[in-house]
Amino acid sequence: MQTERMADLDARVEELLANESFEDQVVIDEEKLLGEPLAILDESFASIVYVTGLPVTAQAKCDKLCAVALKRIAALMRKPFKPVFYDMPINPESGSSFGYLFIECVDKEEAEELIEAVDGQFMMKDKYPLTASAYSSIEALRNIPDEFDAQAVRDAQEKYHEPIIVDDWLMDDRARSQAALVVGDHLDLQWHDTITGFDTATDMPFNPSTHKLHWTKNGSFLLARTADAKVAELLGGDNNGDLTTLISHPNMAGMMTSNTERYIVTVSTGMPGAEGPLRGPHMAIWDKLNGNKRIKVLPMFDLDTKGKYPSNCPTPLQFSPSDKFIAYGYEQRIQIYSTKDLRKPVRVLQLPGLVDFSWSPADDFLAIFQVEDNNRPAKASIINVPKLCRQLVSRNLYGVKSCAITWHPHGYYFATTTERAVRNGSTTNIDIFRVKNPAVPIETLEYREKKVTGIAFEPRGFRLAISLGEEVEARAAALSGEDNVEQLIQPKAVDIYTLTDIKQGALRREVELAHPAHTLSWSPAGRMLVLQSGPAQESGVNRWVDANNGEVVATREFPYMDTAAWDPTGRAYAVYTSYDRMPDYAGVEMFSHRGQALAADKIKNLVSFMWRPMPESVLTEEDKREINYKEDAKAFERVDTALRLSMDEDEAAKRRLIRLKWTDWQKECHQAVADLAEAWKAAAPVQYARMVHKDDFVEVEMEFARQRSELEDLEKDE
Amino acid sequence: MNEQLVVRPISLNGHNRPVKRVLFTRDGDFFVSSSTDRTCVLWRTSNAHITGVYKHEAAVETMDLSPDDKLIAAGGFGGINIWDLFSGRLVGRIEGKNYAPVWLAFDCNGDRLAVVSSKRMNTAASLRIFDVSEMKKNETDKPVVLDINDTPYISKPESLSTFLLQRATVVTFDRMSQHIILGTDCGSDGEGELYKIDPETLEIVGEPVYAHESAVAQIEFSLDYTHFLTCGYNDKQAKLWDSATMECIKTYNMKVPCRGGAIHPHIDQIILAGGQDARDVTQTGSTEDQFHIFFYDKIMAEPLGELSGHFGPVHCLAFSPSGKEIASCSEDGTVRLYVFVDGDSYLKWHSV
Repeated sequence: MQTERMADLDARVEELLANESFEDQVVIDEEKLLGEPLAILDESFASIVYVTGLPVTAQAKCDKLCAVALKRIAALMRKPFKPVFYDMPINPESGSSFGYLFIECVDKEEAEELIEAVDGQFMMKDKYPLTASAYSSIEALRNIPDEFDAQAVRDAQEKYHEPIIVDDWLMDDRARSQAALVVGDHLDLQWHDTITGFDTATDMPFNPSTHKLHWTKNGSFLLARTADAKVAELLGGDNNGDLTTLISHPNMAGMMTSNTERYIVTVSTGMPGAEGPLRGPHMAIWDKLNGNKRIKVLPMFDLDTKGKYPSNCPTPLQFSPSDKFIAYGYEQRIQIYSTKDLRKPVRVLQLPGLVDFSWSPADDFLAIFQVEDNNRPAKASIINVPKLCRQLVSRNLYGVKSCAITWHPHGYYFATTTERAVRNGSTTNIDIFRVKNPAVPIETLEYREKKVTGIAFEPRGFRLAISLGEEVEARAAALSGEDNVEQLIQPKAVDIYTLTDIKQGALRREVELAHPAHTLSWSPAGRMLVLQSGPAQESGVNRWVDANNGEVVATREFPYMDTAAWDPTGRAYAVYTSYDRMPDYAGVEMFSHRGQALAADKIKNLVSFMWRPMPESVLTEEDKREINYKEDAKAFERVDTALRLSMDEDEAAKRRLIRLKWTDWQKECHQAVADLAEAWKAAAPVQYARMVHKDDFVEVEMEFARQRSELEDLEKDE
Repeated sequence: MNEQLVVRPISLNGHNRPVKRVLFTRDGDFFVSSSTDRTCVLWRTSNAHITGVYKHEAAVETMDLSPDDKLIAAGGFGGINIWDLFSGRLVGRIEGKNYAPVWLAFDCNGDRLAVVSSKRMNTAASLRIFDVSEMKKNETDKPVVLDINDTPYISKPESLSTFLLQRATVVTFDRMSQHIILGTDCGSDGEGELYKIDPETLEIVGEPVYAHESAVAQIEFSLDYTHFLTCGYNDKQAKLWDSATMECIKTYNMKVPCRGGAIHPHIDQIILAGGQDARDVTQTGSTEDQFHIFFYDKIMAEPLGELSGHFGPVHCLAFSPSGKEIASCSEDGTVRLYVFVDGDSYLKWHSV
């Protein structure tokens, strides 16, 4: 009908144009042209609703069913509802209903209200799922195929809900690292490369005074918490800074993500006015995959109340490395939850004297430390959680004064450092559990004279660095004038042990270093160890130690160092000074893994610097087997070489010129010397024959020719 | 540049006093060190064992090998001893009362020996050239003894002033022994200079060249004798010179005083080392890495890397002719041999 009308219109316009001359002003009256106004779309069906999902009944029972259904609909709509008209069609063949019902409401608004209330609800408890839709949409619904097409659904989902790509930054063709720098009122995501230095990836406005930032475990997201403690934001995605998730939790005091970054835990100091566990301090677990649904609330106890939760533990709630389990410790017991169903703990472990527990970084093993009690010795144990919490190993200890537990970053070893009271004084024991060995043998290192100030396992390696100190009396004159004598432990030395093979005489001390280390910082790639001396917030000397031979390969002093950190790949080591610490020295200094200075960037208004953590690997075992390290290394080397050259074209050209000048000069020299030699040979053959350096010269000339041809080849390649 | 240098450092204890000089033989199978403990020691490169010890009457201040690896000459207070390198026979001795050699050098045939000496008592500072061809031919056990005045080549005051000679620190022959290059300490005018001297007449050829703000500590020729390296001690610089024109072509700036250097035989690299004197350490700030060996790109004059080892000032460095070993000697009384484990690994230092 529409097309007819349009065709008619065209004909009339043509007719008009044919009759009228173009010299005259042509006024086209639209109304005249269109004739009657277009009919308004019939809205009379808008008040009719179509409800499906009803039970199929015989004709006799239809009236009763209609009454029940209408009652249910009224209940769902939460208001007295009386339809203008309703009809339940009957199948003439079978004599029973089709399972649907037409309802005419008073007007369109009421119909919409009904649809909203009824759609997706149930009738007769959970038995019959109801679907309500407008009568006008029947045409559209009729086109839905009867067969379920999974692919089509997936395509549609992909089209409308494109998944957030969070690991594209790992696919960088040069495998660069990233770092987040807060500079002034901006958040910069910077690529970093040991050759080219910093390169901006994303720059966005950011207010450091209102937001606190940290990276999630694998570096996929930036977790930002507003200072007014209400909202946690997850930033990430394609543009590395898009807001992907927003969680609102009043009075938020802290937040963290689980190991696979699926779950987010927020800690709140309590919501006044709420009921149940939400009233007091509590933790909430949110499932990011499930629309940021709050899936569990666990009470959190006052930090002041002792004995309520493990005292040494950084957080009473810890996710297992696979995120399959949650360990939640309080009041001398650990509840193990399965993340599949958080309603009830799968297991509750009664652990008297529990002070610390920690998951292995690689397996779902949980290490537990209990302190001494009247008749019970202190106990360190490891349990295998998926295998019904079977105990792998345990060790009893006596006279424990203090303890610390440490896992190897890849879960190969577990160590307890305990200070124990013995007959004359105290001793420090380090018990090392070889977790990957089925028998889990334990070895003990004992230090009687020296104090252990810290231990650190080598990532991707089999070494253990131990920082040792001596007790010194620090005399601090208090304001009252009295001498205040304090016992301080001052670091003095570092020992490095290897743990490679238990058969080769177990623990071997490979290296002894007489350098102080307040912090031991292993390179994530292993081998290199940086000893940071000087307490935090004070000037520090950083020493790079090659653990293979124990040599100090570089020593650098930083008078105003804030923090120093390894790049997650172990290629670079960054030392940064923030604006707050020392405005004139604010900036980031970069060093190679062996302590060679790479760059010193002065960054005004630097607030903070954070390397972006990386997942261990995104490759599967098969992928890893396919890597040809030798070939790949060559390719990377070539890229690096080209990069170094192209880094600064002018610089490269200048360098090439200097080199060329040199080779030309050398050639000139050699020519002059050769001429001289010829002259000598002609003038005094006997003397010339005695020239010892004659042979040298020939050799050098050959070498020179070889180098020259190589250089030419290189230039040709370019 | 960031490639790791795979190098095996070997510390050698054969001297009990500061070691002043270290030199490789021309085939690189042996190297010689000389020390103020009155000895020179011959080492085997392959296993770093002591092969021979040459005993001198006085502390050995200077030492040189003849280019054909036949002779070793060591100078100390009272005279110069010349041995056959491999038999250890004393083939010659140059004696003189109160004679104090500062530096000596063989010419390119090993026939002549140029010696600069300092003033002691009534013996004036001098530059002398001795003919040692007799000693080279000496097959007997009896050494050929020469008096210092037995040579016609003695510097004359009219061409080389006593004042100049008193400051002389280094002497060496250039290519085909056409000239002698003499390096001096800074005098009252405060400049270390280089002189080109005719070996026959002992007269200065051309103008003296200003080299360093301080003493010229060492002159090291490249294998093809087209350029040479000088180390200025206190000005913390090393310079590379065109040996024909005596023009400075490169300058290497160091963080520490530079005493010794060596030019890589094949690759465009040099190594430099040094460090503050023990007596100066207390006066100025010092870092732990000042006694390291520093690698530089010869052409670009840029630092490439460093090797650690010594704990006292390094006096002398030498590359083996293959470039696969470095020998260094130090005030701490040790000689160190650095062997590049993977023969090619040092190539990675070759900057682009």
